[in-house]
Amino acid sequence: MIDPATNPGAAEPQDSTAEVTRRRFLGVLFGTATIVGLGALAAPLTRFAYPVIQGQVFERLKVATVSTVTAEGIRFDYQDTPSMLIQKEDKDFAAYSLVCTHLGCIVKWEAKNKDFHCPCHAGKFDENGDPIAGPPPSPLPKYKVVVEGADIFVEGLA
Amino acid sequence: MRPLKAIGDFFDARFEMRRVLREFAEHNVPEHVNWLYCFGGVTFLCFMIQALTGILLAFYYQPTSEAAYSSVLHIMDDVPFGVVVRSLHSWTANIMIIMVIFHMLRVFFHGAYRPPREMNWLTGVMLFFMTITFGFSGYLLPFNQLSYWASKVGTEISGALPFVGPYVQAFLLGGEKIGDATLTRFYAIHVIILPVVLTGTLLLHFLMVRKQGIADPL
Repeated sequence: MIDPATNPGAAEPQDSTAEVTRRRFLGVLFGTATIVGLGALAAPLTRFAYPVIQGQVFERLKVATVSTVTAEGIRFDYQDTPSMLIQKEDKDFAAYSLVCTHLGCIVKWEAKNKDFHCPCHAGKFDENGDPIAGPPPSPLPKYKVVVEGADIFVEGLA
Repeated sequence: MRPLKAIGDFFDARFEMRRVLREFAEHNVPEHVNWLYCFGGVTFLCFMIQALTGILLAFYYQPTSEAAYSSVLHIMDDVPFGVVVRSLHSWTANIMIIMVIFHMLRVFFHGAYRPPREMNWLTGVMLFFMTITFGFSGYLLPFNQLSYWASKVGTEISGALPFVGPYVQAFLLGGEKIGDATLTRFYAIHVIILPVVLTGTLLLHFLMVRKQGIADPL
C-alpha cells in the first residue's frame, strides 16, 4: 500500500474525468474522428455486400401473335433494350437483343440474307444469334420465348 | 464512457492488453525520422485497403472465362457502391506499387539495408516481388482484351527463361493457352496464396524492424 503521507499524489484516487489533460483531449479527439471515419466507410461497404435483388426480375412481355410474324421479324423493346423476334428456318421462334456484342451498335435483321448485320464494323450473326463474320466476340443475348396459343411472350434472357 | 471502461477493464484484467497497446502507442522513434519514413506504412495501409475491398469484390466476382467479364460489369453497373469498391481496389493497387518503390528507394539511399538489417532488406525484396505478382495476377481477372494480352505477354516472357521457361509457362497457363484454367490459377494465386504468404512475410518484416529499430542516418 502507498502511504498518503509520503506520496501526496496518491492520496486521491486518480479519476480520469477529474482533469482534462492535453493527452486525454487529443486522445478523445482522434478516437472520435477515427470511429466516425470508419463508420462512414462501413455504411457503403455493408450496402455493397447486401444482395442486389431487383436486377433478377424479368417481366413477361407479349411481343406478337403467331400469325403476325413475317420474314422481316418483329422489332420490340425489352426493358429498354432494342430487340427482335424472328421465325427461324425450322419455324421455331427466337428473340435476341440487338445490341452488338462487339461495341454496342444496334444490329439490323436482314430478311433476305437471314442474318443480323452490324452497320458499325460489318459484324454478322446468323439466325441463331451466333457471330459468323466480323469482330463480334460472342453471340447476341438470347431471350426465352414462350408460345401460348396464338400469343408469343418473351420472359427474360434464356 | 462507464460501460466502455468496464469492458476495457474486463479484458485488461485477463490479457493485460492495455500495457501492450500503450507500448505500441508510446513507442519511441529516433529524432531524425521524417515524412520520408512513411512510405512503408502507407504501403501497409494500401495492403489493408486491398484486403478489405478484395474480399468484398470476391462476393460478386466469378472466375470463369464465361462469367468473369460480365460479373465485373455487374459490379460496376448494378451493385450499389460497386464502382467505388472496384475503383478503390484498382487505384490502390497502382498506388501500392508506387509506394513500395518509394519505400525501397528511401531505404536504399539511406543505406538502411546495411548490417544488421540485411535480412529485413531481403524480406522487403520478397515483398516487392509479391506485390508485383499481385498486380500481374489481378490484371487478368477482369478478363477483357487488356487483361488477355497483358497475360499473354507476361506468360510468354516467363516462357523465354533459359531451361525452365516452357515448364514455368505451362504451370502459369495451366495448359497451352490462356483460358479457364489460367483464370482459376491466377485467381487462386491472387486471393489465397499471395495474401497468406505476403502476410507472413510482412509479419517477419515488422518484427525485425521492431527488434532492430530504425537505422541511424548515414
